[in-house]
Amino acid sequence: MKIKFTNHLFLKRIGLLKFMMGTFVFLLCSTAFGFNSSNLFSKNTKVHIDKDQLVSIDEVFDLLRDQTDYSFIYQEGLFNDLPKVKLKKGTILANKLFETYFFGKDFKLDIKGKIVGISATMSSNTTQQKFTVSGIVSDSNGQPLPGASIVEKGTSNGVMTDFDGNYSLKVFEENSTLVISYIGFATQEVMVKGQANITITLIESAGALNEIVVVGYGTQRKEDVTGSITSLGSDDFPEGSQQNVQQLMEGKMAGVSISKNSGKPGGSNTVRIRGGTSISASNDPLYVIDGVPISTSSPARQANIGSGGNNYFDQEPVNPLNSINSNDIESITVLKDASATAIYGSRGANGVIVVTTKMGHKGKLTTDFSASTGFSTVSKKLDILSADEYVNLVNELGLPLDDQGARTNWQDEIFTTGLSQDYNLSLSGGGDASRYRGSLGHSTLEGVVIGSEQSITTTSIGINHEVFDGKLAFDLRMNSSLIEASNAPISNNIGGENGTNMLFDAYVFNPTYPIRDESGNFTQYSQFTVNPVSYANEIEDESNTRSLFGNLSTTYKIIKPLSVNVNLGYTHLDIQRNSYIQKLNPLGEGVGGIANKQNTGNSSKLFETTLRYQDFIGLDNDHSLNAIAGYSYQNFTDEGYRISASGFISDEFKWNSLQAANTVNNVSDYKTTNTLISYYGRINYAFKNRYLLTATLRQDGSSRFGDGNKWGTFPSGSVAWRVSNENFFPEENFINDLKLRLSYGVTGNQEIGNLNSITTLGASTTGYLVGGNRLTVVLPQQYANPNLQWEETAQFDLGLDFQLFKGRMFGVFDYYKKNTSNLLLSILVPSPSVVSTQLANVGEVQNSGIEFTLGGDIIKNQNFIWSANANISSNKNEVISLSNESFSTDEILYGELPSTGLTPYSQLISPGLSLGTFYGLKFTGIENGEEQFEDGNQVIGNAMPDFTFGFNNTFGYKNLDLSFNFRGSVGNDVLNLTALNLSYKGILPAKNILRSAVNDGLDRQQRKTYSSRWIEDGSFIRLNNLTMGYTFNVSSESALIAPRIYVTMENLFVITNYSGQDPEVNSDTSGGGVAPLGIDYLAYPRSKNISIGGRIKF
Amino acid sequence: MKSLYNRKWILLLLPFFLLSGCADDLDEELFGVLSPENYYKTEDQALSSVVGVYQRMSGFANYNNAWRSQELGTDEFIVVGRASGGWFSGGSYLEFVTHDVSSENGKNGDAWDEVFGVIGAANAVLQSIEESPEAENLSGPIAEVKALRAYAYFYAMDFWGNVPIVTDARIDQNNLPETSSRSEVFDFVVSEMLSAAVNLPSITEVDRAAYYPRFTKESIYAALATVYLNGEVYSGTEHWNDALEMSNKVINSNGYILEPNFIDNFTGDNYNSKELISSFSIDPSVNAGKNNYVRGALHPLHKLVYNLPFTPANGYNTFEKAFDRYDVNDIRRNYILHGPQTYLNDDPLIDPNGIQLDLIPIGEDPIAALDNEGFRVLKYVPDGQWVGRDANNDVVLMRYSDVLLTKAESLFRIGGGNSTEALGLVNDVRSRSNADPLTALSLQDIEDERSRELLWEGSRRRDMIRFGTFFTGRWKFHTSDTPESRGIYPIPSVQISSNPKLVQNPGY
Repeated sequence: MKIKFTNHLFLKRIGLLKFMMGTFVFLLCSTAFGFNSSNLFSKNTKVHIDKDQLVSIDEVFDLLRDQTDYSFIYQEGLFNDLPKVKLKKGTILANKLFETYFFGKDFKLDIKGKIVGISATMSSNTTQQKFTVSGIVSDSNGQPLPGASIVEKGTSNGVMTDFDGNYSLKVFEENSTLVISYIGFATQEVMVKGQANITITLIESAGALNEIVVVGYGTQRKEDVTGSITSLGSDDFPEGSQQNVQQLMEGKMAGVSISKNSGKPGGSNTVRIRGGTSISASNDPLYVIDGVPISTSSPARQANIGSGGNNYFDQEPVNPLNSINSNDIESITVLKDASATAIYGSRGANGVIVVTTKMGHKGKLTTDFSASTGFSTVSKKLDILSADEYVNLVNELGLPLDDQGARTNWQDEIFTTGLSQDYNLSLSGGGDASRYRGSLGHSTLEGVVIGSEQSITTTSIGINHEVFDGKLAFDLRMNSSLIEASNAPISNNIGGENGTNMLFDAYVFNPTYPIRDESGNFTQYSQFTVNPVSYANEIEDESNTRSLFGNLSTTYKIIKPLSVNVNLGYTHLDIQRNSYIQKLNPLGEGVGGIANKQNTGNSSKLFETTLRYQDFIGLDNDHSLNAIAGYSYQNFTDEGYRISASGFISDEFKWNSLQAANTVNNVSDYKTTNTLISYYGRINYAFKNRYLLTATLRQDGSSRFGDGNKWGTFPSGSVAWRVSNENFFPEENFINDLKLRLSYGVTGNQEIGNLNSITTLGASTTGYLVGGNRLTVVLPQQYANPNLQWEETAQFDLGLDFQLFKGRMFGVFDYYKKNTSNLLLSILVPSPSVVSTQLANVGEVQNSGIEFTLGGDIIKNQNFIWSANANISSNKNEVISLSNESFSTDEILYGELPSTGLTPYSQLISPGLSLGTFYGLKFTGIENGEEQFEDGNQVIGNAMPDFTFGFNNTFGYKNLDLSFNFRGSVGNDVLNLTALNLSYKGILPAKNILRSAVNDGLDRQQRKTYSSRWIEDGSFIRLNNLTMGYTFNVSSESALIAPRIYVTMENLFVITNYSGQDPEVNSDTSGGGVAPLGIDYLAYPRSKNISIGGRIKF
Repeated sequence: MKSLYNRKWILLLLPFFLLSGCADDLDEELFGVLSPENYYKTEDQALSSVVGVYQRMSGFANYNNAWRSQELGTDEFIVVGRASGGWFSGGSYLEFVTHDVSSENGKNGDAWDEVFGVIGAANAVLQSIEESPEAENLSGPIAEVKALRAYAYFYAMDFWGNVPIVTDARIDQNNLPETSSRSEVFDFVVSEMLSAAVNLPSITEVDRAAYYPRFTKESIYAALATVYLNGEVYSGTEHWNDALEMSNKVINSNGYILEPNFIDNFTGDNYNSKELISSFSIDPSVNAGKNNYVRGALHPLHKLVYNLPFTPANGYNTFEKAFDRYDVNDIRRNYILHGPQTYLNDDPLIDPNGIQLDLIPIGEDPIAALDNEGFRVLKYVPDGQWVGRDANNDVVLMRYSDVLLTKAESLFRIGGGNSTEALGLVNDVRSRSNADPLTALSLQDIEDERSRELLWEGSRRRDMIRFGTFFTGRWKFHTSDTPESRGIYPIPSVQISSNPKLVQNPGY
């Protein structure tokens, strides 16, 4: 008898560290079951599987040998009759692996210390099996699960599913029960009841220990992460709603605050991770898509196409993240603390959002098609006087009345029911060496305001190819998109009477006017008050956004444990914006039509090389070491132009034939570039899986800073202690996983735009005549600031991760404190100066807060599953100082109020206060027809919430599932600037007013005044999303896999005391592309959406 | 085979080493953006910045806030909120009308930005040119910019009185400028203007057409005449002799005449007028400025009269009182639209309801005035050369008739009210417009004549303050005295916030 004796001590291989892992599959047929394996390996011994593979049982033992301190003795060929088993990339407890493997097998174990002898026993499988059950096992998305185990309860009779998730099992009894299990999923029991075909959908178990998360430059097991990160997988995304990356995260992640700036289709969001750190530099997180950081600089530039205070065009920046189809997203990870973000150095201070797109899975071609359609309606209208009420009030006040006899509700005329459609098709599959996935998506979304709609077409391609036994791997991914939008002319910075826009006029336009006169022309009032419906018909504004994000990542495993990766990336975002105002409209009247054509483009080239070292070291593989070192070069180019021309003989020319214009009003043209060169390194070290350490260093060189300050160094370090892996930690404890984390690090912010460190002169469009000749005007634009340097954020984080009740509940708690110094602050330069602001490194801002997430499976049984998670975050922001050695100030005014006649700013930035502090007169009441105030300006509110929360639920009952998601905010104030502008009777009779203003007791002469009267509590709770779905059973012969239909409802209701349209709003009152927090001014209204859809796979 | 591939990783690393060489390449490329080092090599290039200062300054005579601030609150100009919409602007115009401008008034803030924007631009251009290697050859442009800066300071002194005097392009954030008293600003303006005038050419030395509308020696002398005329208001000391001297310098240059036709100073080809001492060129057809007075002042129905391609905005008005100052046969009276309106061929101007448009005096409600309330000034007469909503009439800052009246007033005040020369000067101005000659002269006559001659030319507020009528006079919406402190506007609160060393003017 030939005995196979193996011991890792003398057969030791340099084990590959298998850190890049997905979930894990292991399968086997089963018969008898003879021992309790949980006493074989020590409790936390784990085995890592570095890729999906099909292996023999012998090879499974090789793995166990390599990664544990056990040896195995058995007769060669003992397992020859057994089928190969499928191992899925990931990590598994050795006991679990062994147990799953031996579950129901007819083998006997002889354990002597760390040497295990294995021998065969007699099969007990003798009873007659008389009834065959077959079907398919899939996950909740209908993705088939190959290798799931199906066992007849109370017997050792079982099978596993094949590659397509199909199974067929002969059972002893027609009334027996099947037990279906699959790692990472909740085990399910199903009564056969004589059915020959049973489709089984498994639900993922909460807080799976082996979850792999994407971190900067690589992946990590969640349990090994020492920093503060949060991630979402594609399963967490609601179906059937056209949501972008940011909205997918709404309410789901502690410490990540996401709010829609308005209800515009495809509108922008304000995303703040752990509060705003900066005042003048961007507070947006860095987005990294498939390893390529993208620039978001273009969208703000394209926002403003009008001029001065008369800008009625939509000004919300195009959201570049709309370019990524949510159906193509595999995971979203948010890196929050310095330990996690330091690898992105100078761009990490505001947090990093890492988006990974889907790739193909090994298996036969799978086609996935989904379609949905829905409609949206405006969620709330403002309470404006009806025509009769308006007429009565004007008469009562003795004002001249212009009653045209009609009774028009202008809000009803411009609000509409928006239809939406969404189609997605993806193909994926692959073999051992190559995997592929391609997808096509198309959606159209009509806004709730007439004339606004958006259509998005996306394509994505992912190809993975491995050669030389997996030594060399290529990963190519391309995402491209075309977003075609038609924008309603709604802006947030119109001021006084000489500014107007479609939404404003829908509130104020004389309600006694008919929409059209007898001859069919739009009725018009004056150039200050334009027929709201005429905007939609006589003003065109379209934008076309084309994007391409692509990268080719090549990994070569040089020699274990060393590999090298070269990542070449290219991103391109090109936004065309065209608008035309027809000659007849009062806004284009006299000018002969105004065409505006502009193009803003941003492209970047990325080159990165990363060396990677991963190994277990030490006698018992107690030391795990994972290190990377890399170099990165990224070059960004911004370029574009804008032409505004007027005087067209025909409206037909629009923007397509600018040579037909008789006047060119404005031409501007620009190009800038910037370069970021970086060296970075990171070490992850773990000892006995108990003590974990991460150290990161990144050195960034940026072209944006002055000569002496181009380079910045950003270090971070973190440690974690897995208390639950200690020997003293009781095994039978309701806590089965407990990890403490501590991190500190420094990250930077360089988002200040280009050419800020040098003095520049620039030409302007408007010239000047001398002697009848036109001279070009060149004036200084800004002064040099060669001392400009990095904004630095030092962040401390203390975290706790735990799992309770065998992983049924999980929780994450974090406390953090962030200090941002050398603030890149745009200082208001005292006059006289040719520039109004100057960028300098001034002062310090502090954010501190707590985040808590708790989730788990509340109910989990055969038929019914309820899992839920809740998160709550609280951030406290405080400006510490606004001074440095060359500049000192106590206050900076912020938050522009565009309405003429008002004080120009609504907020104050001052040491001791938080950002978003409203500052102005305190309103005390109305006496003698006049508003009364306390003397002097004071703090009258704060736009920052005390805390925000999200609450997510998923229910499953048989084939039905239901999920919904609440989120909310408490303690944030909103300035209702819309109400302020619609409430003073001085605008009568030319303009209509809010009903609430009629009996407010104010005289008509009362000057429009910004005060605490207009600051409201913006706390709210919103039913963000509710999805109900049904998955059909199909026969195993059917080509179809788990067809599904669903209905999704968004923004079903919001509970709030806020009197405006919606409290969650950030209006860009400055028109500069960045909205101050908490100002509601003529925001595109929010909508309620309902859609129904279905998904089939085959 | 295998060994070959084992070496291939070296190839993969190659770009790493190649690109590492780019590490020092972090300089920013300029792509068409200029810097002082590569510009200002020739006088033409310097001039491109000088005209930028002119362009910014053109708001002093154009439709902007700096101009409105010279006229609002007087008895010849008002902006009323219309019942049909527009121009209420949250009550910000009304604050001017009632002499109750708050430090947070947006129009006052905009005026500050316009005036100090000129000063800031001038400082920046001066510094850039002076740092240029060619600075020695650019003394002309340097003097010109200094003159413009002094002119802007004259406006700042006139509006806000006590303002910071800054001649550096870049303010030291740690050493913010302090407020200088109005009399210190006065001394600064005078000395800067005097020294700048030395280096500027006289109108008699230049090719008038080719040099137009750049400022000459006489532009500055004329400005100085005005500064001195109001010298007592600014400095507390009378400067009548200085005003006289400066007026004489202009007159004695013999570079200017009273144009035979008053209106030739304002028509579309007014650049030919030999009466203009300081003006700003306008030509919207080549995107070089625009004149919006017609758009701002006329009633929507006037569109039909003048065949305008746009609807006028119905904003600017004058009072009945200003209109009533003119003799019936005074030509200047013709440029105030009032009463029943007609087409140019005298056909009645009928509104869609069949009623003839009748411009009536401003009524009692400055918030919701009817569309036909208010008389309108139409000096910048439409000549049909429209580019969109914009006219091409050059805007006038200073005319020869103003200098003549300044001289007349100086003589009158020096002579204690006895000056036949003064009477002659006033009558020269009057007779040009067919107004009956005066037989005797009083201060009131001089004040009224200035109002008649310089209506809506940015002089009235200065004049009324100098004559005291700004505070004690009575006209619509000014029914009681206002304190002397209201002769100065408040410093905008935003400015005090950005420079805490600024001191708010008394009474605010």
